[in-house]
Amino acid sequence: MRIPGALYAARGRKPQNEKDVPFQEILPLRLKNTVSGKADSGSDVACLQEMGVLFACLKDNEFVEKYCHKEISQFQKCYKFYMDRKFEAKQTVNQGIVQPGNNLNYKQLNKYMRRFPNPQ
Amino acid sequence: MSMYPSHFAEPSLKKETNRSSASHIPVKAATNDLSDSIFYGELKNKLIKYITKKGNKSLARELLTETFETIKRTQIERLILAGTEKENIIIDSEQLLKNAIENARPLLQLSAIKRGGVKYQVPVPVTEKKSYFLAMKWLLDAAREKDRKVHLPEKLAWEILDAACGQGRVIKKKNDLHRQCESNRAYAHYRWS
Amino acid sequence: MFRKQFGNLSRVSTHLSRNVLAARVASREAEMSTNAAPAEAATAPPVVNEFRTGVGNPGEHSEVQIGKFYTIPMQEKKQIFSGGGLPKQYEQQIKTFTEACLMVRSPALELLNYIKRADLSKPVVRYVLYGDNGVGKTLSMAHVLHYGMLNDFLLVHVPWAPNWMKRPKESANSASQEGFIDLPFDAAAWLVHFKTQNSKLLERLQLKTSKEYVWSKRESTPAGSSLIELVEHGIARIKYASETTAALISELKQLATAGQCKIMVAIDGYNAFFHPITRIFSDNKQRVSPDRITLTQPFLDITNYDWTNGVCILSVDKIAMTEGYMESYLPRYLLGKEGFEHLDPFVPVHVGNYTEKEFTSYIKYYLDRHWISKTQPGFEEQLKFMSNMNPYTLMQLVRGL
Repeated sequence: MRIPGALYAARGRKPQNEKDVPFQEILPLRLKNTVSGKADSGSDVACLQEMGVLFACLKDNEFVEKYCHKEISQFQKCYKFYMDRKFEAKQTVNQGIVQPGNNLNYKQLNKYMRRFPNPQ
Repeated sequence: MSMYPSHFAEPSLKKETNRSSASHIPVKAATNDLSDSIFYGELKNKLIKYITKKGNKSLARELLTETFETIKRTQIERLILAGTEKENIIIDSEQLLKNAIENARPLLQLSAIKRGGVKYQVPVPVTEKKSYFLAMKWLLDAAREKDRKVHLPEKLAWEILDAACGQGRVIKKKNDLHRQCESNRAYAHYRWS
Repeated sequence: MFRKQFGNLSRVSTHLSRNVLAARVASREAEMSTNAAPAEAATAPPVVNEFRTGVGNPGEHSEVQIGKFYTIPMQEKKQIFSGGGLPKQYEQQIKTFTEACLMVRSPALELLNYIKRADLSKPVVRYVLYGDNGVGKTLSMAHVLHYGMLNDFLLVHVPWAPNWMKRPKESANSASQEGFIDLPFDAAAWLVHFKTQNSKLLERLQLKTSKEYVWSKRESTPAGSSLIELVEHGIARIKYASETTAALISELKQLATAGQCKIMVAIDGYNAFFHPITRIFSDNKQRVSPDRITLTQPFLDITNYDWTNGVCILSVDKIAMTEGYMESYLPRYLLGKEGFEHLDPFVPVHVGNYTEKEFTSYIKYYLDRHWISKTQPGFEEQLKFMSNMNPYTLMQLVRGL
């Protein structure tokens, strides 16, 4: 006589014997004491709109820069502003002053976590 | 990398330096190509460094002097031939060099960026320093691409005169680069640097 | 870093309009291919200001004109210096400035004074110009040569004697003298130079040869033929050019002694005739000393004192020597014992660096010709310091400014 499959399903499958499959700890089972700074670098695409305007102007004037003076200076100003800000940001990160608050960069976080490491 | 710690100040070229206010700041030693002569020019100095091959800087200096001489001779000849409109002709060869480099500076540059296994030529803005470097490099490249019999100063003088007028191969090269950037503008958002 | 320099210089504000540019490029092609400088200055009347003098005749120059420029008319310049005689860079400068200007300097004036007062019936006086490198010995000589040409001297001018010892065009064994070396091309070139300098005067004076010269079985120049014929024979038959030179010079000496003409001998780099090291090699690969070169003898002969009605202007130069023999610019060192004894009673004329007045005058001239375009305050002082008021160094320094 055939036993319907539904009966087995109710009981479930027999669990594995733990002795047969010993646990392997491939990575340590706790968090690292550091975070990487990758996420902080942010998007590098800057001045896209200015570039578009510049391209349009250059194309209209057959790439003679003389007639696109305004666009060029705006584009360069934008890029310079962006680079300056990036430089400043890097500067502040490198200073690494720890201040209270929840908006911390990776260096500050790392400093905190070095003070309170995970127990071994 | 500099051998000096970051708080060292750059050496000053002025004869009288007001050091009383900043006497506690240490100063880097002056390099041997700096000079407080009134004929010293930073741009000229930079170009000499680019011309130099195998460390033979005295030869490079001589070549640039000869270039300036050739430029001056041509401009004086033009001045004599010009007749009425003499104001338009610049004889100062260093000024002409500056004009040439200003005219040859690129705004954008293409850099290869790999996305999804494909390399895209992405237009990227250039920094000021790099644009000067590129302008001078192109001028020199154009001058070096010549017949063996033509002397470098002669060709370089022509390239500088051409570029100062806004024509010639260097300006064309810059415009070509801009054109390419324009045709690749769709990839602009791939940029990461 | 560059922002300092370029702050006010906008990259696109080329102040030149496009039309002007196009026209200029078109004209540039023509200019550069010919490199011709228009000779408009040749016809213009002489300008007189603080650094120029209107006195064009070197015979009239005096202390008043020291440090001032006088213009040699282009035609006369062509006649005297087309075969050499001005330094190459000075020639270039003349072309760029479209005028041949020489500065009146005291060594040349001193020489002119001596020449004007000399008694030509006495044996020739030898004047030796000496001085350090690049002080203007050759140009002082050029000034005197101009005087000689205007005052009906026959010019026997060797633009740069070491050329024969250092870079001869061709050397051949002499046919007439055993063990001697001929420099046929150089001799012919010198004859051409002599002809361009003196053809007008020779035509006027109608000088004749005194004896017959037999070159070969078929060729000879009969006695009583004119000197021009002799010179032309030498130019046409290059093989006999050296011998023609010797014949010409001995003829000239005789004619001058007889009082038919007066001669100005000017030899630049005279000490090369006494310097044993040359770059000429004989058949057995041995260096030939200058006394074994046929071209040397006539010029040594004409600098001897055994003739009258002439002047000898010689210059001794360090760079006429070879390496290792350039320690001093004094005549005794450069000429050596033999040369010094050959010339012995001679009048030394020292050529020195610019004086203060000459220096400022030169700077003004350069500024007038647009040759110096960097005129920050104090540039004169700096040039003075860097060049030590040496004419050649100044010329080199000013090139790139």
